[in-house]
Amino acid sequence: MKHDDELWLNAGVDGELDPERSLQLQARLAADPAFKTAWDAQQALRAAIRERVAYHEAPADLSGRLARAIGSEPVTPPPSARIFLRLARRGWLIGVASAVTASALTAVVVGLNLGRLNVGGEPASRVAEDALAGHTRALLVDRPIEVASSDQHTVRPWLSARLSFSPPVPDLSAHGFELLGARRDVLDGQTVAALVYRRRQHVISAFVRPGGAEREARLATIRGFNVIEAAHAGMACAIVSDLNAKELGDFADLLRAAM
Amino acid sequence: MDPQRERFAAVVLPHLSAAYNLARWLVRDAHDAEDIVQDAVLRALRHFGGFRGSDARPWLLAIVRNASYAWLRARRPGELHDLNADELDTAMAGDAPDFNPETVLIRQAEKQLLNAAIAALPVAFREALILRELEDLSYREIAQITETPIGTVMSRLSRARRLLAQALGAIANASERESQR
Repeated sequence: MKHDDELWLNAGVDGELDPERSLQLQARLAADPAFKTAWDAQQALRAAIRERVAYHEAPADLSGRLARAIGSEPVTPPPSARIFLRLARRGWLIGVASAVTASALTAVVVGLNLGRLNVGGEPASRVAEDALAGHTRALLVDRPIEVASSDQHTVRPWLSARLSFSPPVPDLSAHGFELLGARRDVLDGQTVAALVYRRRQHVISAFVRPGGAEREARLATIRGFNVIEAAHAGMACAIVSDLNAKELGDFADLLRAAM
Repeated sequence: MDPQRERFAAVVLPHLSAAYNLARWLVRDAHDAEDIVQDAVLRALRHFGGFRGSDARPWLLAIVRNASYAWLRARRPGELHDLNADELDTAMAGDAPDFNPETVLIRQAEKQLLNAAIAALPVAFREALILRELEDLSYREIAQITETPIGTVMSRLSRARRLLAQALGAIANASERESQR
């Protein structure tokens, strides 16, 4: 394999490509079986590493010694929170499928002091389920983005011209959320704007539509994905990602502030 | 308690396992990793006044990484020889040999073999892989921590994976030959 192709493929696996190169990669994968084989091998390798390579937790006596030296109480998080942090850090939340685990994670989220988020114990809403389906479907097909641009002044007019409303498209790059672009999607039978952002290699879909009574941000965990719903100033949003709940909560606050 | 120390405990100490995991993979010894992390964290405390970011993890990891390299330079300089980066990066610039890693073999790679194969990688490749796959850091963050250009991070990661796939393939082939004998 050509060196450049190898780098391209690796950057694709790592989610580091810009939207244009990412779309080109999708096309190449569809057209070139050898390239697809190499891609599958890379994915298998990554999965094997993430599942089976040792993550060495700091020994308890090291934490204790350091805490004493610094003059604080030991801050080792409780085991459940540590597992959650590690899962989030390693992007494993996707793999956490069972309802039991999901509710356990929800409980942990409460333990992480996300005070401003209402963590729902009841079943996920229809909109949240729809939003998750739209998010995962978009990641599977060739065109997760209809207008690929990191410029809010390109994306917003594009959406306004095609929808019956003009959604907020804030520039959140200063906060570490990169705008990739947008597309139209259908949520609960209504055509909505789907804004696509990225934090590290985690893609975030934010579905925005008019209407809905004022509503505080509310987090649900569905099949390992975090979904946050909120409504403000006549706009409602549903935000989906495999990003951890804390950072997705930050994103929700920023988007809500722009509505 | 002094507010600066209190803030340090709240912002930095939650990343202690990330620090320990990195040191442990770089020096490959549990006891030495503990010493290195302890020193590095106390040094981080002294320099905490200069920390301005929002995420302390890459900041702490850069300090731990430097401490681990200082330890390697003093104790096992041989391991850093192959780090002479120019040579490495020239070696990496070539096209990959026609090697077709068997997805099935990789998928079935045993835990012990996989860990040993990573431990056997040259340290520059090993650290890129650990930071990417176990810490989930972006190329940009890895570049900052390792003080290398992003392009070098990219090629080191891709070379690390190629070496790893080759090692796993070679191990699997050898054991197959063994069993056929």
